[in-house]
Order: sequence, then C-alpha cells, then structure tokens
Amino acid sequence: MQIKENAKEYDAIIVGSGAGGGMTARRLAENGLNIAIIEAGPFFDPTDKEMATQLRWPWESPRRGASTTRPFGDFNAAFGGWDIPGEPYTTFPGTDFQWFRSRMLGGRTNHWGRISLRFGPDDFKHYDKDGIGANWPITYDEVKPWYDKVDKLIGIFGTNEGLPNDPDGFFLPPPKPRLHEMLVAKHAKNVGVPFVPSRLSIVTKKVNDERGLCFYCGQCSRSCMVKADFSSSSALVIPAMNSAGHVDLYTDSMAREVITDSTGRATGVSYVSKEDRREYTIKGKVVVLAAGACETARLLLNSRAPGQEQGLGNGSGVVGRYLHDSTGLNVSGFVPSLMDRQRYNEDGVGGLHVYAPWWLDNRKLDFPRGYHIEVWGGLGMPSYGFGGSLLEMQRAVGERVGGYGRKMLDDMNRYYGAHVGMAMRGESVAMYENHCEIDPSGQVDEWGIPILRFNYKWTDYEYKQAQHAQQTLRGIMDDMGAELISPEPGKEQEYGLLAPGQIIHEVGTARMGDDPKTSVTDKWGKLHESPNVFISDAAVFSSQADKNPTWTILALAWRQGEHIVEELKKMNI
Amino acid sequence: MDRRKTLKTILGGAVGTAFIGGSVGCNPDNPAPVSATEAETEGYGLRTAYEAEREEQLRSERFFSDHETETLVVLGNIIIPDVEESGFSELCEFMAKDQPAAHATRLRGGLAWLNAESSRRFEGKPFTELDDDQRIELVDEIAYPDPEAKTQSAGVRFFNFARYMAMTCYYTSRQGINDLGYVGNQANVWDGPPQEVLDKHGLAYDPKWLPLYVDQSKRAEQVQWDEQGNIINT
Repeated sequence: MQIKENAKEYDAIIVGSGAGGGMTARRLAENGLNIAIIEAGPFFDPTDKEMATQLRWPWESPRRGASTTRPFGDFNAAFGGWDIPGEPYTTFPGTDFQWFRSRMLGGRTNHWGRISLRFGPDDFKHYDKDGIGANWPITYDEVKPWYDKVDKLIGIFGTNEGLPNDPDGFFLPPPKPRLHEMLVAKHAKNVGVPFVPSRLSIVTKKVNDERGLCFYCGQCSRSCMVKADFSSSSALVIPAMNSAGHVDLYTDSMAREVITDSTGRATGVSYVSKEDRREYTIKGKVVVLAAGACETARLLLNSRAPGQEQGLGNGSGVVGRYLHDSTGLNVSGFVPSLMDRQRYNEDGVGGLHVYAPWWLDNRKLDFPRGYHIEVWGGLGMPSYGFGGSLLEMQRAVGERVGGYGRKMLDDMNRYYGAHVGMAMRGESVAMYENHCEIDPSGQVDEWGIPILRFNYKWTDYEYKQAQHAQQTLRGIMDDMGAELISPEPGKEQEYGLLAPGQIIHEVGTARMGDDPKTSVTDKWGKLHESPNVFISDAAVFSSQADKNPTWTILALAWRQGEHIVEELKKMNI
Repeated sequence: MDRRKTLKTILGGAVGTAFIGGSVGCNPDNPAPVSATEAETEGYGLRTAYEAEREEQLRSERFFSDHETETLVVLGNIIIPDVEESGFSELCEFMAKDQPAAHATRLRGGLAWLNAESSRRFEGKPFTELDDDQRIELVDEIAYPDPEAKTQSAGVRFFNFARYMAMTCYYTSRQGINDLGYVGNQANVWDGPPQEVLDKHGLAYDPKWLPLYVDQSKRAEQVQWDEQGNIINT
C-alpha cells in the first residue's frame, strides 16, 4: 500500500475484485503465482463484525434504512450506486442508460440477488437458432465442467429439472417455499406458467469446509458474516490472500490504463491512488481486466499501443459495442386472501425460493428471446417507506381511506404480508449501436480519467417481450385475485420496461469470437491484439441469456485462470 | 498479506485523507466534501468516508425551529399515539436534511399551513395551543382523503405525508415492530410456513419437490452427489 515506485514484476495484475477478478485471483494464487489486485474501493470483509450491517435493526440508521446514499437502502452492502460523486458519465440524447458501480473489495457481488443461473446450450449458439446476434465461440459442453466446479466450490441450491436450456447442476437442496410463493406458483400454473425451486448461491447444506450455513435472515444483500452467500470478497479474494501464492491488494486504487511495450505486449497497469491522488505504475507478466463490462471497456479505450490508437485491442472497433443489459419490469399488487396473516419468521434466504425459467418457444412468438419470472413479498422486516401504500390497500378492501390512531395501525397490521410482486428479467439482443465510448468532450472524473458516454435504445425485440411479460404477470396476479397497484403501461410508457443498466447485468463490451475483425477477445478471453491481456468479466459475453450473468462469469474465469497458469508454465506468455 | 494489517493501514490512512480537497463531483448541488477512502462511523455498519462526512455535516445543522419541532411532536402523537417515543420529530429533522427535495418543504410548508389554518379558525392560536377537541376537529377534516377526488387540498396532502412519516417512524422502531408482530432478523431454521397456515390458505407442497427440500436436521452433513449431480444424502 505504501509503495511509491514499484520495481517488482508480478506474475499477473488483476483489475477488479468482483466475480471475475476474484475467481481469477483465487485460481492464480492457489497455483502459487505472485499477483496484484487493483481495486477502486476500500477493503471489505463481510465476516468482520465492525463492518457488518447484517442483523442490524432499522432504527439503528438515522434514516431508518432509506436509500439516500445507497440505492438499495442504508444497510445494503454496496458502496456506490448509479451515481457516484466525482465519477460522472454522460449519455447521448434520448438515452437513459444507468451505470451501477460498487467501489469496494468484492464489488457488486456483496449485495446482489444471488440468482445463479447457468446458461444453456442455446444461449451459447443463439445466432444458429434465430439468426440474430452472435454465437459464442464456445459451447455449453465446453463450459459445463467449469460450472460444475463453481457449484461445488461456492454452493448453490436448486433442483435438477432436466430442462433443455436451463441445465442441471450440482445443487444443494432448496428451502421450502414461502406462503406467497406457493400461492403465486399455484396461480401461475393455472395460467400455464410453471414455477420451480429457485437457484441461488446460498449454502443450505454443508458444501465444504470453507463456506458457512445459511441461518435464514433474508439479508444476503448485506453480505453474509458467516459466508453462507456468494460474495467475491469472502469466497474468493480473501481465500486467495490466504493461499499458497502471494497476493498484494491495492485498494482505493483507480486503474487508469494498461501500459504496453512497442509490440503491444502489456508490461503493467497504471492507477491513481485515492489516498494521495497521485499516479503509480505496477508491472506484470499478465494483465487481467475484470473491472466490470463498462469499466473494462473504458480501460481499453483509454489505453494505447503502437498501431492501436483507437484503444488497446480495438482494431475491430467493437470495444464498447454490443453493450446489453437484461430487460426488466415489475408488477405488484395487494392480495386480499393474504390479509390477517398469522405471524412467524418468514425471512428465509435473501431472495426468492421459487422462480419460473423461460417456458415458451420463441419460434411461436413475435419476439426472439425469453425471460424468467421472479417473485417477492412476505412478512419482511420494515424499513423506511413501510406503510406507504396504506391508502391504496384500504381502498382495495373497501375500508374508509385515511385516518389515524389505533384504527389505522390495526388496518396496517391486517395488510402486512399481503403485498406481492413479480419481476420479469429477460434477454435483450446485443446491438452494434448500443455502446459506450470515451466522451468526446474531454470530460474526466475526479481522478483525471476520461469518462464514458453511453448510447442505448431498446428495440421492438424488447418492447414485444415486455408486452408479453406484462400480460403474463398481470394474468397471474388476476388469477390470484390481486388488486394491481398500477394500470398496464402502454407504448408511451415503453410497456413498463426499466431503463437499460437498471438490472445491473451489463455485458458484451469486449465480446469474444473467432474472428478478430468482429470481436475483441479469443475464446479464452485474451485480446486478439495483445499476447498477455485477458478479460475475465462479462465484457466478453457474446450474448446475454435470460439468466443472471454471475455464474457464467465465474465459470469462464476459472477456465481462463487454469489456461493462464498453463500458458505461463509453457512459457507461451 | 495479513488482511487485518491491511485494514488497519487503510483505516489509518483515512484519518489523513478524510478532508482532501473540495468536491469536483458531477453534482454541483451537493456541497459535501468528497474523499474516497473509508472511515468508520458508529452505529450501523461500515460507512464510506463520503457517507460518514456527509452524516456528520447533517448532524451539525438544524432545520426545524423549536416551534416547528413542537408542532411535529403534537401532530405525530395524534397520528400514532406516543410515536414521539419512536423518534418521530428526530426522524423528520434528519430526513429534511438528508433528502431535502422529498421532505424539507413538504414538512415545513405543511406545518405552516397547519398553523395558519389553526390560527384562522381558533382565535389566532397555533396548533400547539389548541385543546384536544380543537386539534381533532381540524385533523378530522384532513385525515380522510376522498379516493375519487380529482384535486387534493393542501391540508389533505400534508396530512398524508405526515401520516407516511409517522408510519415509517413507528414501524421501523422497536415498538412498532413488536406491534406488527415481525419476529425475524435473527438466526432461524426455515422449514416452510406452519402447517395450519398452509391449511388455512388451502396450499400444499408439490409432492414432486417435497422429498427434495433441505432436511434441516441434516444440513450440517457434507453434501454428496452422484455423477449426475443428484444428492444422495438429502
């Protein structure tokens, strides 16, 4: 941390400590390598009680858990959000792209939903199925062994359903569903939507000696002090630091660019220390970028090598291109049959216990890609805003609207646990025009690093999918007898589609492929144009699926880590 | 590398860097000093230095006058009996500074409306000087919004917001959580809803999955799979 001029040459420098960087770090360190990790935020260890927000009560926060500085509430483990002071980004006119960053050890893995879905065979070859987008240069069968390893190392619960495009795995037994989840599943079945046990990276049964057992507080978003959820900090980076290799962790260090020699070979990475605002350079034989898809693209675009004036590895011109996020929309309502509920501890795991994987055939529909359905509700812990829908609920059941005093509290107590919602999370199609680039106005962030500008528009592919999802989710709610909170949004409201970036699954900005003219990396995630620069985050995704990206990031990073070790041994790098 | 040592290094570093520079952030309306290294604040888990400094600044400011605070206390205790014991006026004060766009003018303007209305109707008396019947007479006129109405009066709008703040305050306090009957936020072993709850709602586990759910009595036993990933010791 105190190093000013560092003459040491690491075997590898990893930029970023989230899912991709964490897994790469652990694979390389456990193989005895000498590595550096550059992380833009502070150290964070979920198991450190001084740091933990888990099991704290809402009254411990002066804002009662409100989301003033943390978009998902005051106890959420993510340091950061869509807007970070001093680290702006811009958008093209008409674009509302929102870029979530979490500046801390483990990055966004400290707070995410732990929904851990393998991609299926079709997801790697979607172009072959429908002629849209691009195939990956690899198949499910090539990635399967790595998914299996991730399952066994980190732990994920679920059930083997034998579904063609939602593959089986090495699952821990799932928890029983909550009451509202059973109700949703029943009514979804009535309208032809099958729900199954969800697949979350939460340890429900002992998986190995290093992971803890879930104690059902429902707070994975606060990062788990007993390591029963997957956070890259506690599950990957800290174990790497305790392994056979040597790990130097450079926290509060904002990577600026990849340094290359006259041949385009990387020799190191420069970063700005947030402690003294000065720039430093460290040297390494291999550079692995895992800063998050858009931050990784920014690093490449801000780096230069001889003959690579448009950004390192950007001879194809597609660095930053094909940016895509999952689609998302939410529907919620008040379910009168869930009034007057008996009280019991229904916290469960930190997420849904059931979900609906994509169940239809797109060849019979007017949109090309699918979506899955998530569900929420139950007897959860109150936080800022609790009771905010009192008037709507009184109206829904024909009570006199408004009031105060004991009668009002009795009303609220009757409604507690009757508010149920569902979320659609779908696959969008990667488009060349949707991209990030260095803002041409010359604007920099507070570290002096040129910032990103985004261009992103949904297409009819996504709008038609959203229309379908609105009708499906509302159909399930209607069958439950729910009073919906808001009317069905039409075209003017973009069918309720959330802005790109809001689902925080952005991928594709340095996609892998066999052809260097149309892709940035080869099938190992190595830049086509540099012999020793790799990418181990979701930038390499040739296409997203209707799945959350983390499990695929982890599987690919593990596979890549072993490849880097082999190549170093063979002196190929 | 010793991670505890690393942590101390960073926390030590934060002392020296906590007040670096002024804001060069993207939000010119936000005057909070910006530094990026972490610092500790007491009470509710690790805060970033930005958050800790921002909170310290907010706590050093005072938004409501004594009379405004007094009015909040009286009104709050009408909306929910003894809600002041759950920290009502303190929460309003903090939120007015923490999220001013959503809270400051709505609360201050609403209190001013309340006192003006009180004064107009009750011989120049502010709300706090009314007797109980007079307070209730005034409150009853603004506490029951017409859900079909196309317009909303200032009084109804203010009372809706005051009610929202009181509800949030109460149900995020120990008293309110006990009243609500929330019994979580502690170590637990989840084994599905109680059987009588399932019976009441006419729900039953799908027999296909019932044998696959985690057997909580065996959760500490190391999982074993066959080669296809089927658990052989659920």
